[in-house]
Amino acid sequence: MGGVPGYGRVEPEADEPVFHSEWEGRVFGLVTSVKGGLSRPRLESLEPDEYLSGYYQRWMLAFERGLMARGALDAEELAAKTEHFRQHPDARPTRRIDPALTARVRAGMYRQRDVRQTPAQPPRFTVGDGVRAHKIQHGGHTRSPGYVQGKRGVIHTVYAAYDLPDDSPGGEATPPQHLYSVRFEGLELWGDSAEPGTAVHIDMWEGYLEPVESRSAERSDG
Amino acid sequence: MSGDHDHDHHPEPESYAAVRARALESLLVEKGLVTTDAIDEIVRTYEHDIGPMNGAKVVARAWVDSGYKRRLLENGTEAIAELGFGGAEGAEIVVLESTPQVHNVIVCTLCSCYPWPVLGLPPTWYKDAAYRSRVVREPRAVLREFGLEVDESKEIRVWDSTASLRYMVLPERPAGTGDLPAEKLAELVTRDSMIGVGLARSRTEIA
Repeated sequence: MGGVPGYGRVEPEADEPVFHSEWEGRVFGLVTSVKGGLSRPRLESLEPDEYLSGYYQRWMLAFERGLMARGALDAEELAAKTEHFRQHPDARPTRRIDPALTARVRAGMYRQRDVRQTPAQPPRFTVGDGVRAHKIQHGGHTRSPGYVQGKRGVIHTVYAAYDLPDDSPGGEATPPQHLYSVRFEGLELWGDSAEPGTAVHIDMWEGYLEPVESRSAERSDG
Repeated sequence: MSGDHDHDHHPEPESYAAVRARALESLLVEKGLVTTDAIDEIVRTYEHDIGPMNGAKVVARAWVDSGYKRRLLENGTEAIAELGFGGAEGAEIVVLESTPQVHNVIVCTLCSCYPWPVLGLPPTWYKDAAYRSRVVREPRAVLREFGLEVDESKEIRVWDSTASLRYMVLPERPAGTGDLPAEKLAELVTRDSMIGVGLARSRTEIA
């Protein structure tokens, strides 16, 4: 939603608690410990009013649907259980304690994962190269923000290679790609309405980018 | 329930979300997919152990130890691990140094990527549409709403963490703090200063 107008002022909350109510913490715990529920594509597939319903609300919705999609949860049993708790406000969730599992969950929170991948090719671009962000046509999940697609930037940093979470047009697996920090000047992104002296640096996978000549060369081409 | 939540209150009839969350937890426990004490532990950890106090220690150490600062800017993840921090949403942390010439600020316009091991879970405004949509287009106006006026001679660099990396800002060290030890300096380092929507506090603010 970068650059999309109409959302009004940012409203920071003084001394904001980590969780505003108990259920937010429980949902956070469920989503981070039960694998295969929440995913970014599923979050983005929510209806707009669902997406804007609040952070943990949308997590819970996307999580439920993810579990249902893999057969781990049934919509009717969830509806029945919800009705049960609605009618019994003092009832608590079923409890089960497993210290060994909790120890593993605790270790998991601190475990450092190595997400770097070995790419098949050396990086295509080097620092200072001019690039343009492709317009993504396939309509599936992409990590290339809409507001830079079609815009010109410069390679600022060459990072390692990482798995690409995008949907591919044919649904086939995408091999890991080099990641770059690409610098886009405010003027390029927003034209005359850009604030002076501002730039955005965005992490972009190699496949999002195509080489371009420097601006002066393009101008001389007419 | 663990009972140690200091904001564990139900002021009104329970929201639908609260009821739904209890139903969901109950079902997943019954199915053997999760346990009550595992959820308790996750909540407790992010309420008490993993938060911006970790990042503040990293920043304070970088302010007093130039060798550490160099390592931090070269490989944030490894230097942060030296202080014992790492884990979920911290596989690759890149530290951005703000200077008299460049002010850095972080955002995730696609969702709400955030460096959990050093900053904890993000505040609500970081996850809301207003910040995510506007800070890339009008960062000066957004920072002004946080009370931060950045001189036009200073570049504002907005880092949109759309991929595998998580960013944190190394804010400028406040003037007149040359004699303070790292433990005191850490008290000057706010969460907002490590996002880039604020500056580190001056020493008079904690005196």
